[in-house]
Amino acid sequence: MFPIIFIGPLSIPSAPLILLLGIWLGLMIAEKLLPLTAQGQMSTRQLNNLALIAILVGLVGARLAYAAQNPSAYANNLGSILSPRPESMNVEAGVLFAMLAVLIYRQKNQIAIWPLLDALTPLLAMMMATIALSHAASGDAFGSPTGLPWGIELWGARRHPVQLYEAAAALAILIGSWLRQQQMYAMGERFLRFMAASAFARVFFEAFRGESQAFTGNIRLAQLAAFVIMALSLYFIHRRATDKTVGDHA
Amino acid sequence: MNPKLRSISILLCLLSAAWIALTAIFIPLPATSNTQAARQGFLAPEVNLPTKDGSSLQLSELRGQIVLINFWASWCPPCKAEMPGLQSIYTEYQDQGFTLLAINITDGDNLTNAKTYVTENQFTFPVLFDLDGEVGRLYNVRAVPVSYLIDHQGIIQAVIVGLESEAALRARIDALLQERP
Repeated sequence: MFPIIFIGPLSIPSAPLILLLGIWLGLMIAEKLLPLTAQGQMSTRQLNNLALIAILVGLVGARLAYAAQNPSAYANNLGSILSPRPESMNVEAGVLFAMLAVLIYRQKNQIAIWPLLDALTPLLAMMMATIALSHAASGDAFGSPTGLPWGIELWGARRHPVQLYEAAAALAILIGSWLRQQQMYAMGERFLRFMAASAFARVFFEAFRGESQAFTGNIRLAQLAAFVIMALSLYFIHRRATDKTVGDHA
Repeated sequence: MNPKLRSISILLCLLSAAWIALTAIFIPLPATSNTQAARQGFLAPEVNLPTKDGSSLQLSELRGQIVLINFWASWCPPCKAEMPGLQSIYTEYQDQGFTLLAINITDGDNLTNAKTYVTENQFTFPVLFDLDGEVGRLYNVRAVPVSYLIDHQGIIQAVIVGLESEAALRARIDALLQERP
C-alpha cells in the first residue's frame, strides 16, 4: 500500500494520480482504435470533448453531492468546496453526473448510442484496471484473509491481493480487445463483450474480497449484480447479432 | 448469434451461477470487527500513552463509551482551530458516555510547545503525547488533524481527515450515543 507519493517537497495522493494516468492512457488507446470501434460515426474531436466534459462534470458533481450531504461542514466556509482534497467526493454521484453529461453530449451532437459505447470501451477497460490499481495503492477494496504465499499484509491480516487480481483481469480484457481490434462486430458488440467479460471477472473475484455486502445469508450482493449484468450483456449480444432491423441512430 | 458464441454464453452463465453457490456455501463473509486496523469497520488499535501529568491512559479501558481520537500538533493551524469546538463537545457529552483523546504527534512536534499550548488553553479533555510516534504509525497518521470516531464496541465508525464542523461532529456522536445499549 502506498497511499502517498513523495516527490521532493510534494506529497501527492497516489490513487487520484493513478486514475489520471489511466484516463490519459485510456483516451490514447480509444483514439487509436476509434476508426474501428466507432466505424466512422464519431470523430476524435468528439471523443476528446466527451471525455473532458464527462470528467469535469463528474468531478464537480461529486464535490457538490458531498457538500449537499454535509451542509454544516461547508455552511460557514463555502470556499472549502473548492478544496483539492480527493476524499471529499461522493464517487457514486460523480459517476451519475458524468453519465448524464455523456447522454446530453450524445444527444446534442447526434451520436448514435452503440458506436459511442464501442468508442468508449478501451477507455472504460483502462479505467477498470487503474481503479483496481488505485485501490491497491490506497488499501481500499481489500481482500479476505488468506494463508497463501502471495498474500499481502494489509489491515491487520495477510490478505488476498484482490486489487491486483482485478487489475490483471482488466488488463487481460483490454489486451484481448486490442488483439481482436480488426475483428468486425455488430455495433455495440465490443462494448457488450467488455461488459460481459468484466462482469464475469467480478463474479469470480468477489469471493476473495474482504468487505463484501450480503444480499441474503452468505450470498454476495455484488456477485448477483455482476451475474445479472453479464447475462443481460450476453442477451443483448444475441439480440444485436440476430435483429437486423435494429438501427443505430440516436 | 453463432452456435459457438451461444454455447460459450450458456457455459459462462452456468459457471457463474455455480461459483456464486459455491462461494455462498464454502466461503463465509469475512468479518472485520475482530481485527485491529486504523480503518472504518475495524477494531481500533490499542492506545497506551502518557498524559500531561505523567499518568497513562489506555483505549481499551474506555470500552463501552463513544471515543473520539483526535491527532494534532501545536504547529498545525486547523488543529488549533477545531480545539474550541472539541472542548465544547467534550464538556457537553462527557457525562453521556463520550470521551475525547487528543493525541499530540510529539515525534513530529515540540513537546514543550505542545504542553504550553495545552496549559494556556486549559483544555479539560485527556491530552496524550505520542512520544515515539508508534501510535501515529498504528493509525496511519500522515496529516493532521485527523480524527477516529469509535463506537461503544471499539469499532472505528468514521475516519475524519482534516477539519470537520462542530455540527457535523455532534450529529455523528449523537447517532452513536443512541446506539449504545
